[in-house]
Amino acid sequence: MMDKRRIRKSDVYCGLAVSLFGVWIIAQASAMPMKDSWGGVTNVWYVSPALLPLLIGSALAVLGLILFGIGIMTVGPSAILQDLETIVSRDLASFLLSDGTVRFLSVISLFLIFVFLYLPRIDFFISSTVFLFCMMSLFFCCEGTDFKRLMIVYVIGGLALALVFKLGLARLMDDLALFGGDLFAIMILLAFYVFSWNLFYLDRIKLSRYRLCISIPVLTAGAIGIIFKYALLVPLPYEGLVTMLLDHILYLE
Amino acid sequence: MFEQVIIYFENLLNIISSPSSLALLFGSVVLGILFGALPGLTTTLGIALLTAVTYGMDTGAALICLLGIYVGGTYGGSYTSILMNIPGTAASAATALDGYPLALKGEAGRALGLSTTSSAIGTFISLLVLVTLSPIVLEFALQFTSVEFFLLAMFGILISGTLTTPDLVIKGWISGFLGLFLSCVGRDQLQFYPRFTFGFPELESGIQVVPVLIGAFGLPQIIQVLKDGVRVQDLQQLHRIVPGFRTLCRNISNLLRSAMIGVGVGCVPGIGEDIAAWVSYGAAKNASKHPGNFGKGEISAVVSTEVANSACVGGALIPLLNLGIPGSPPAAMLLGALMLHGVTPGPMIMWEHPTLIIQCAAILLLASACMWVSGMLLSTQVVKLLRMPSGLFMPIVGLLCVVGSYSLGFNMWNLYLMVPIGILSYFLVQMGYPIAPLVIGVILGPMADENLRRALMLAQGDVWSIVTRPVALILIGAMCWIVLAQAHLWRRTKRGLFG
Repeated sequence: MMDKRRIRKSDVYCGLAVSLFGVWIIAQASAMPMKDSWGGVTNVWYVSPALLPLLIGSALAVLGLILFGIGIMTVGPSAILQDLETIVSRDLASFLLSDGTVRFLSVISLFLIFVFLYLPRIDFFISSTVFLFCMMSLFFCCEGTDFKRLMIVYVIGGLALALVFKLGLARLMDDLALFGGDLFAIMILLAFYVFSWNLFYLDRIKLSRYRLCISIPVLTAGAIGIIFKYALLVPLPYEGLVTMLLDHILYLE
Repeated sequence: MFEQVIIYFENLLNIISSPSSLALLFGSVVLGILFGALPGLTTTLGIALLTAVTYGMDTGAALICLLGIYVGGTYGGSYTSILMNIPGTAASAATALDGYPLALKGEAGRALGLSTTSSAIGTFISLLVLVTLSPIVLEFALQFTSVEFFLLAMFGILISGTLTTPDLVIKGWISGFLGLFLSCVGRDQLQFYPRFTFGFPELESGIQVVPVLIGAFGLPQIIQVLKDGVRVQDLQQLHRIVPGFRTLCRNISNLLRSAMIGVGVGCVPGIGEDIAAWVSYGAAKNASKHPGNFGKGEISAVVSTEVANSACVGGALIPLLNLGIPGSPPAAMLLGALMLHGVTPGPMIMWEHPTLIIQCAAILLLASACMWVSGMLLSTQVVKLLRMPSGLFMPIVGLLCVVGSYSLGFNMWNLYLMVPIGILSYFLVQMGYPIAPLVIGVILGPMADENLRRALMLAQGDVWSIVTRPVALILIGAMCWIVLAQAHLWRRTKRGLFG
């Protein structure tokens, strides 16, 4: 949790946001059938689907306003003006580039890239290996500028993959070679391996950790994928190259 | 009564005589201990991940796994509390106050042994209370109508928000109402009108509870641990675990008092093992002849906190199974898991699943025995695993969260919702909002909505008919008292807004 003063400052923004959210809920609920009929049933207010949303919206609007009031009373309007000045000044850049913020943004970006980009389009085993390798190499091996450099490479790699799928190049690759998209993802993973090895090879401790970061993701993604697909019979989000190979081996197809 | 005892022993024998059930129980208890011990992992997350794995199992086997991990996880937090002064779970934060000083004196084995035996006894006492009180609570609950259920749901959200918030009480209430809002997404139960779906057919069946819980509890922990780069400190030396039976006999009154506190706190919706442990710690200190020794390695402090947090397990099951209202966040997750298996806890449980409560009691007894055995035999091995760096195991937990959420329904939308809810929950936690009321709101929302409209339909819109019902009046009175007790807040707000 943040310190008390920062929390009170955040309460001003949060209170306002919650209050506006409550008003929005009330507006949406007002569009729901209150007296007119729906599905052949004539409504009255107490059976309307709008009843609970109206209660929730009203409660949030009031509570948000109270929170806003407490926040403003504690920190004063000058603190809010100071925040607005910070946003337009250079301090914002130094805040965004601070270690804590970069680490936070890294975790979020990797999760978002994994869930929204990799999982629906690339074989589960490959996408999980990439995700685990990126996370582990960042948070187990790296510090300081190495961390930021590696993070930028991983984000660029993820966006490159997204571009390949967006531009339809993945389909083109699938025409040229079976599971072309998966092969491209493997190439990206190998590029990650090479780039990170380049950062760590001079440090013996980091190099031994890097070796763990290569083996553990492969074993973990393999174990989890096999348990869920073949033991628990859960169809994986995307079954591509590796899944096809495993099907051949395990089902003797 | 006699029949219930027979059924209880039958259930016990069924599990003991089945090697696969015993293996499942033992494995899930050990897994729970690991989840409880590793900082950044919680019992609730463990239950969530195991829910995905047990989805394809029959209800009996799933119950064994889920209750096993619940019991193990509640106890497991004491490892890092005692050995590293880092609570593995919030439930064991109070144990660190006296457990760690004991370890510093070279008595880590004694402290762990006491915590293991205390936890086992706490769980045992709570299951006795569960079995004894359940028929009484059920009898009472059968008198409830829609009005009472709606007010009970709102009371649960309000009390959970009030007691679990680390900052202003309003934040707990806001969290609860946000959870209620999330439960409104989808087609409503009475008229099937689509609410807040924005034209997405995937949202019409509503937001699935378990992925929301995984997102709300799992992702913030993962983000926090990786962002802060939590490092394992030097572990205190651990040689032999000493069960401490003689010490516990000398602390019998403390033990019984702590167990009752644990069960009582567990019955209150939404608040969990951590509150039970702190309340029990305070009570033990007040009752002690040497209160000055607390915080310096006092044995009765370790006993009180561990008995209370483990007794909370059975206590949380009382409202869960009899009223359908979870008594703690792990119980909330358990409710989601039970519903996935087609079991709807509530007053009708005695008719729909007449042996479920007895079955749970039997599993709790065996789970506490497994926990004691694991604690005595495996502690030194489990402790070695604590040295695993967070940079290695947290990404694996992240992957398990993603796969676990997806596997419940095979729906990518669960993930598309889980990640943003997880990120939102992280910010809420940073700003001092508790997550438990949000989860309680998501779970109790459908119950509140349906019962509110049904109650008003039966009364034909006459809101004042509520005043004829005594339980409803008590609940309204309790809620008003909770709100009015924050009078100082209203004065501050008035000053802040109007000068």
